[in-house]
Amino acid sequence: MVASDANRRSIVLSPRRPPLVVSSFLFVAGLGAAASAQDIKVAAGTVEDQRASDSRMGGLTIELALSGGSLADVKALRVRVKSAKDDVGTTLVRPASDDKPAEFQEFSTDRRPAPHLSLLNPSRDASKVNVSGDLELFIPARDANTKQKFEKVLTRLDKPLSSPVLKAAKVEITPLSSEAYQKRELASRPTKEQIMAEGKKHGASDEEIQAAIGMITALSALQGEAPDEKTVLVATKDPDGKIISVDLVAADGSELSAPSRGTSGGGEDKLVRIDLSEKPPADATLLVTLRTAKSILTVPINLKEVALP
Amino acid sequence: MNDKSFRAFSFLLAGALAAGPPALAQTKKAASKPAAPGSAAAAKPPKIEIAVESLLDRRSTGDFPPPGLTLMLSLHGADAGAVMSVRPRVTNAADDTGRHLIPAEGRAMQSGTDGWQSPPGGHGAPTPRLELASPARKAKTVVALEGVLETYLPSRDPAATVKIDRVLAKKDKPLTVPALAGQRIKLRVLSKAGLERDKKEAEAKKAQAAQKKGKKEGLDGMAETMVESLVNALGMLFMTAGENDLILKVDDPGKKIFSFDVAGADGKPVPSYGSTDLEGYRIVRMLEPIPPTAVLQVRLKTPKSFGEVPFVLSNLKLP
Repeated sequence: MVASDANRRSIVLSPRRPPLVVSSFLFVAGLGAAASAQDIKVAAGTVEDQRASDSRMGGLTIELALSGGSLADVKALRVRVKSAKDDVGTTLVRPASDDKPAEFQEFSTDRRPAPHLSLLNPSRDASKVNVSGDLELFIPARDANTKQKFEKVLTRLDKPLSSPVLKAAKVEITPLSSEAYQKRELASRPTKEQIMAEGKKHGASDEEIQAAIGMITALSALQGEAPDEKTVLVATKDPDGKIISVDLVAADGSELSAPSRGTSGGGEDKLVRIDLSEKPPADATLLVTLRTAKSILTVPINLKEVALP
Repeated sequence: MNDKSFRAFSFLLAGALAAGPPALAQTKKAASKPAAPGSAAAAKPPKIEIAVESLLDRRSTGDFPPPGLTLMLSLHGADAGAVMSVRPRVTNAADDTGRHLIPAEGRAMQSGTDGWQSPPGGHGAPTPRLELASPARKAKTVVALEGVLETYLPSRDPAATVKIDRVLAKKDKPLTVPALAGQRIKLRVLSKAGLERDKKEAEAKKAQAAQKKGKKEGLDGMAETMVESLVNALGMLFMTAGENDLILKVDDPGKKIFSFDVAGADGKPVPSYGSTDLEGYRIVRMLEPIPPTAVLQVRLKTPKSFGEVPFVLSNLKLP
């Protein structure tokens, strides 16, 4: 059974009412959030220029100091740089490693590191840089469809959750049992043979390979405790980076205390691990927050003559 | 460690791993000054050449992590492989705008205990890290970099290494080692249960001290504070001691011990990833279980085990 804030709202509003009324209501509600968010200002914060003799390393980062508007409504963001140059003409935009845009990063006003631009090193002769681009802000209050709720999720382990909104977003969410999680972990761990083959491919010596095997084995041991009855595990497949967060809440929507949570994996497939303070109630709900077109507000970035350290 | 310092640390680690072609330094004759026992100036200079592997100029408008220039060095030459630990000391450094690059007292990030740096993993030649002040933005080169690399080479003095065979069999037992006793060093090898016993004894002392109400001033107050500090330290050690780690209780009033390491019966080092030193206890962190036949090597500070390598580098291109 899938329920969402959008579905709830459609229950409150009578289906017999003309669609125009519903649209107007949503438009006004959306406008309120948008109007305050549009007042958000972007300025340069701390500037770091890490310069390494190995040109593959380092770069210029400019922290973005956000102010104004209702920043508290912003839950995630993404930076897109259009142009960046220093005052001696060096182009600072990093070449894209692939066609995919960067993922959205969770945001709150006290979260560190703060959002930042990641650029190439300017010239040592330069003293200032100019940057323009866009800051995409995820504001869930702008679209009820961003919150998808899956009731009694713990009774539906090891099968992908079904929802038209998830399907439209090309997102797959599977709550995992401990057994399925452990199988998955074992399958993803590189074998000694694979590490050796990879090491040889890169010209590593036998000693270096043995050291790497030792390190990987030690790191595997530090991977954290085995899941217990307080652990909730969720596998996600998200080719377009639409998932903003995955949380477990009580059936009435109240928060469940989770002292530890983390996401592992990269690319499309990730694993979310939530360690709760107590064993979750059997009727707990999974709350998936998704990015939708309506939930995004774009704020221009226009940083002029930012002084270099 | 906050996000920024973690980022800087990760970057340095990556930089250290991605070594480019080294530029060898000129080495000067060792300065002839009187040898001080336990100092690096005590013995003849080892045959070592120093090269610059990589530079990292961390520039920031913020205060933390502090801006600075880090040089990763490498050691070459006949004695390079025998160096167990190094401590670089810069006597002169300047960029081509004339800015002096020796960090102000207390401003430079320090690596290792007392600035002594050991190789990653506890074996192989160390890769010394040199911390300088931030050069000018417009600077293109470090025109002069002079200093001394203090080195610890226990293989140059048989008296510098005291071996304790089958160290695991010595856990929680009285340990008599004449070579250590001669230096007034007392050593115990502890199991986790032994550490727990020490912790309980310290807790009992703490409880006794707490019962002495009204006598918390002067020596009694100080003793109570010391006991409390010991209990806290033992609690912390107990929490962090891993199953593979070697726990030692060390009493070294003359501070004669330089370090500890573990070797197999064949002499090959057993990899360690550092040690924790707290209130007379030391945990040697091990990546894997210590073999039953392993030997604990106690490295002592002896005049012959130290050596100094003066170096002069010039025209280092800034990134």
